[in-house]
Order: sequence, then C-alpha cells, then structure tokens
Amino acid sequence: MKTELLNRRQTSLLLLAALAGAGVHAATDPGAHWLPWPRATPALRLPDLLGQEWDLAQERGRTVLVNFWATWCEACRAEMKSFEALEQQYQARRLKVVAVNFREGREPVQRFRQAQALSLAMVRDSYGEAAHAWGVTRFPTTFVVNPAGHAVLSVEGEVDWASPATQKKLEGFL
Amino acid sequence: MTLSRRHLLQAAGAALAAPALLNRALAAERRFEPRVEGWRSFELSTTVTVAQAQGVTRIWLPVPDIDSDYQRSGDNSWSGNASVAHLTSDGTHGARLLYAEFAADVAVPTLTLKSTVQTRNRAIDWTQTRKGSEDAALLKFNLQPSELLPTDGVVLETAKLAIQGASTDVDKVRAIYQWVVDNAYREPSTRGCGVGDIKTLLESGNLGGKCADLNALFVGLCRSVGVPARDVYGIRVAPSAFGYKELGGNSASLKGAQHCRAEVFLKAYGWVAMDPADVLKVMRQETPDWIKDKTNPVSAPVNKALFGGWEGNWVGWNTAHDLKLPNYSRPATLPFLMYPQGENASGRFDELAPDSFRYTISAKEITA
Repeated sequence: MKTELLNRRQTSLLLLAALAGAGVHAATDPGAHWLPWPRATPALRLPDLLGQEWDLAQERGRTVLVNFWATWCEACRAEMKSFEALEQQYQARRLKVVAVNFREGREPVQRFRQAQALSLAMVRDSYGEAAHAWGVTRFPTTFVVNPAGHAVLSVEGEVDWASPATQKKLEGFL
Repeated sequence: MTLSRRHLLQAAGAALAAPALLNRALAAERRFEPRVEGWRSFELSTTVTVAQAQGVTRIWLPVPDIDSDYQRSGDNSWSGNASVAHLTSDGTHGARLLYAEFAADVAVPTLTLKSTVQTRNRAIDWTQTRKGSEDAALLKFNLQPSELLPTDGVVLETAKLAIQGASTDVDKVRAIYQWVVDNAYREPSTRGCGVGDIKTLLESGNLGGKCADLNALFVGLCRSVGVPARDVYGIRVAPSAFGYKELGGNSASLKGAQHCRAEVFLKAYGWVAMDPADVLKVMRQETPDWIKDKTNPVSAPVNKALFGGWEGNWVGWNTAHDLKLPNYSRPATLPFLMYPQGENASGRFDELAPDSFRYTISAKEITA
C-alpha cells in the first residue's frame, strides 16, 4: 500500500487474485468479482419511485437480479443500460432486474431513469437499511436470486450484463 | 533601438521562466503556524427548506456542542413554520442537536437555526508536559470500537504495522499520523466527507477518501493500540489566515465546508489536536499538481502543524458516533452528525443532494 496508490482496476485485480486463491470462481469480467452467497437471504421490501411497496418474496418462481446502485456511482450508471438489454433478452424466461438505489432522494433517481429511458424496476433504499442487511459496502453490487428466492451469487463492480460470458454464467440460474 | 535575436530570446526566456520562479518562491515562503491567540466570535446560520413535503417532516440539525480550551459554544435560536422545535440530544452520546417537526399540511417546511460560538487556534507546546487529566470512563469510551470503527482485525493489524513497536503514546500517535499521511490519500470524487467505514477501506487496500474516512482511519488505528482518540465533526467558517485555500471556508456560503478533525489523549499533554486528513487535502488539492512528497514546501508546514494543532477558522459540532436521533422513524443509528438530517413519508432525505432538501449555512464574524 506504500504510497503507490492502487487504481480501481488494480484493486479489483488484487482482490480477484486473493479470492481466486481462496477457491472462488474467477470473474468473467476483469473489473468485477463474483462470489457465492453463503448467508441466508435477507428480506427485501422497499418503495418504488411511486411509493408502492415492492417485495422480493412476491417474485418467487423467477430469477431476480438485485442491483444496489447510486446515481453518483459512475460504474453503476455505466452498467444500467446492459441490465435493460439483459432483461429484455430474457423476457421469455421471466428474468427480472430490480435496481435498489442507495440513500438518495426520489428526484435524482427519477431524473436518471428518464434521461436514460430505462424501464427496469427501481426501488429506493433511502435509509440504507437494505444495503446494510445485504452486506453491501461497495457499488455497484448485484445479487443473483434464484426462483426459490435464495440469493446464490453476488458480484461487486461493473459488469457488462449483455456480454455472452456473463449470460453464460447466468444461464445456470434461469 | 533595435533588439537582437539573442536579446529577444533572452527576454522571452526570462518571461517564460518568471512564473515558474515565482511559484517556487511563493511555495518556499508558505507558512502554516497556528498559535494559541485570542478568541474569534461567529454567528452561524443554517436555513433548511423542504421543497416537496409529504406527510410529517422531521429535521435534525447539529449545533455547536463543544466547550473546551479551543471552543466556547454559545446560544442557539430558531425560527420557521415547525409545529415542534426544541434542543434535544441523541439517545446514545448526549450530543446536542435541534429537532423540528412540521405538520403534514405545511407545504414548504422551513427552519432557520442561529448559533453563536467562539473558537481559537490550537497548538501544543511539545516542550511543556503537563499531567493530562480526564475522566477515566471517558477515556475508556474513546478506546471503544464504533459500528464503522472496529479496533480489531485488519485495523489492529495495520496499527501494529504502523507503530513498529513504539511503546509510548506520543510515539504511537506520531507513527500512525505519518502512516496515514504516507499511505492514504485525498480522493476528491468521494461523496460528501466520506462515510468512515475504515474496515472496508483497509480491506480494499485503496486508502482514498475524505476527512470522515481519513481521520476516522487515524482514530481507529489509535484506539486499536490503546490511545484514546475521537473524531470531531464540524465545519470551516472562515478562510485560512495562512492563505491555504483548501483549509478555509467561504463564510458567506459554507456549502461543502463540513470538516471532521481528530483528537488524541496523551498522558503528558491531555487532548491534543490532530488532522492528517487536511495534510492529505493540501497535498492533493492545494496546488495544480498532486504533491507526493510530504517535504514539499507547500505541504510540509501543514504536516508539521496539524500534528498537535489546528487553525481556529473551524467550529466543532460534536464527537459522537452511532447516534440515535430522537423520533427517527428507524432503529438504525447515524455514523456521525455533521450535516443536516431529515425525513418525511417519502423516506430519509439525502443530505448531499440539493433536490428537495435544500439548506444553506453561513457564518458571520462578530467583532466587538
């Protein structure tokens, strides 16, 4: 760590190397690292941008990607379009993406959604309690929740969700 | 008279060299030596407006709540259209704050808080030891971990690495201060003042952040090796008397002027001022180029002075971690109270976004 500062990619690669050494699967994207989710799946009930409550438990029977993000996070913004493309591509297989905004007001989230012409589901974790319960400390972090409602995989960092390598990884959970 | 080509080249060369020479001369002359002098009096004014009210609105504002040899907190008064407004304190640490509640039919909740405070420079005289006296329970409290400042695991391991066997409290703190300056850095893109999650910071190996990260790191490392330490959350209220643009605030508009400092308790000196985060801020932002060498004439005097001192152009709110805000709709605690906080039926307001939760803070120096 001595004075030579690590940039984000270097840090990710170091973490990836450390995780690989611990027997974790290698990431498909060099900027992100995937981890199996060893804990019980926390509940997730949050208001959407209209104030209507969304509940993960109501999504049983389909695979859900739960993405923790913020508008101030560049990597989060960058991957949002690929979520949209992924969800549309797997529409027939009922894949759902839910973007959980971390501790921001409704207005900036709404603005971002409109500016990017996004249609995927967005909910607000305005108190940061959901991020805390799910152990999220970096953004973006995305969880793969299987049709039984169990989080089985998490990934920190930006992922190209439209890439064949990522989709191959998801195939096993659809 | 005609100028020869040589003269022209010499003149041009001198003109080109002049700014560089001037910069070097100015850099060499930089001084940062806060001394304990007279008190300065300020009136701080905070105005909060909630543009889109939904249901009952609740606001919590920090007030100056430190009385010490460097700060005298004075009176607080408030106005606005709140149905309830009173001074209260958080449920854990007793940090004072202004709580206000607005009825659901108030279209634009508005609150103005005025606080008077006196502040002055701090500078320890390392040649003058004195018996530092403090309540034993308070010292013990300032050795405890907080939610985001654990004192075991990677924090303890890092602290041991930093102090390299130092045994006295002064030597430990000196080593940790320099370790933070040598290994961490100011990251301008960090939101607000950072969150102060030092375990995540250390585990990532990427020690970039702002004051609430960097001074929290310093505090956590000190606590982990048995030196009582605390963050002091506050705000810069005036420009630096030493001309450091990064170490002052624009009194008329203190947007983004929130700043967290640190203190350590040393047996032979009592509570001593520390601010490695501001050293890193000067290194990163005071000059167009990122200063990587702490002996640079711009950063060296700051590095020296902020180990044991700070400038009294800043007001401290409180030293509390993991606060329980009274009447908060959630059981969760707040890592620190440095910014206005609020919530209504739509949820918690984002204190770092100006959309629906707008606030202005200003300071006026009062001269007798």
